[in-house]
Amino acid sequence: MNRTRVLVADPLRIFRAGVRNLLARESDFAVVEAGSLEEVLGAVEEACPDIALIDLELPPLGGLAAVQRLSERCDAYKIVWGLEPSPETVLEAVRLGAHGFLRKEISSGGLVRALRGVVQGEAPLSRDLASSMIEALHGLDERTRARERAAVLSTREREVLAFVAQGARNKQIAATLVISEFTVKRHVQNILQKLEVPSRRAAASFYWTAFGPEGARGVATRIA
Amino acid sequence: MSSTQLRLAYKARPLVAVVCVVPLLGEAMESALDFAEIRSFSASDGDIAGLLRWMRPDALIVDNEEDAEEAAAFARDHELPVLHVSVHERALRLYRHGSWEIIGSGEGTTPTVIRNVIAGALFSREGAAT
Repeated sequence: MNRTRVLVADPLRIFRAGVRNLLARESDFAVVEAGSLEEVLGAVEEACPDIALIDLELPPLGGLAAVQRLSERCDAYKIVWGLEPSPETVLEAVRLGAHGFLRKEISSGGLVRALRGVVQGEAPLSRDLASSMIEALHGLDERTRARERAAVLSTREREVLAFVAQGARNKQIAATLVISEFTVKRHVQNILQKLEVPSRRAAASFYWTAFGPEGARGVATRIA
Repeated sequence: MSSTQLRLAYKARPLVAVVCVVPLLGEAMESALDFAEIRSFSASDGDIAGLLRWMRPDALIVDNEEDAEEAAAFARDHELPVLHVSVHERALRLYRHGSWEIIGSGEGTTPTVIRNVIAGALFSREGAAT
């Protein structure tokens, strides 16, 4: 009988021991362990596992980097697992090539079922992660569409919009960018027209959807 | 088997309760503490004091802060060693003789270290009882 080779890549021995002990009771699994990316690559060099269960915080670069590196070297099914992952992290893992994402709080029976499912072509995803991932996916779609719309703005207009999103007044924007208040007003009018939004507040809301807090972070410190 | 023999046989393997949010911790404990009888429970079941009152384990292992604190209140009166394995902080702390003691961090959460800590706590508890 061919056993499913599972590579458990986790820096915490306690998790590796838990999976090893759990799968030792099943006749259809064989376990290989790794505590770091280097050990993962070493294990893969010897033989590509059927499934790689990769910890989200695998040192030194994290589990997502490990998924990418592993994808370049072998065709193992890559399942990332972690404690309290954010929906964005789950989405990113899948985008980078992970075949599934499990919570470490998974029950013993649940983990065995998930691993057996992988071999049969299923993509394991903890139930609550599935719904939050769909939400994150919708948010991503909205952001992508908003960014496409923002492409009609000039660099200067986008810069002005970032200040508007931070709640800056025309006078402050003018002083920070060293331009006249009249020019700022003209930029704002152009922004509303190009984005087809009715007000300054709507433009600010659009900016947050398109670029989020990270987009406005650099601007906040510059407001005069 | 007489009741005395049964009790001796039972005492030959100390009873360790594992109450955890992460069930795989219980799996790891079964292999690490092969000298003990392990009983694993889900942390979400609640009422840890009630569980300890009825089960009367020789040691307890928990993996979350709330259960650790609730168990400590019971352990204080019953000289029960409680090991808190924090998988988030990768740290171990042991409650015995009325206070918490940090055991280590990082590699401290290995099955071997946990085995040694539990064995030591059980041994000193046994010594104090005789």
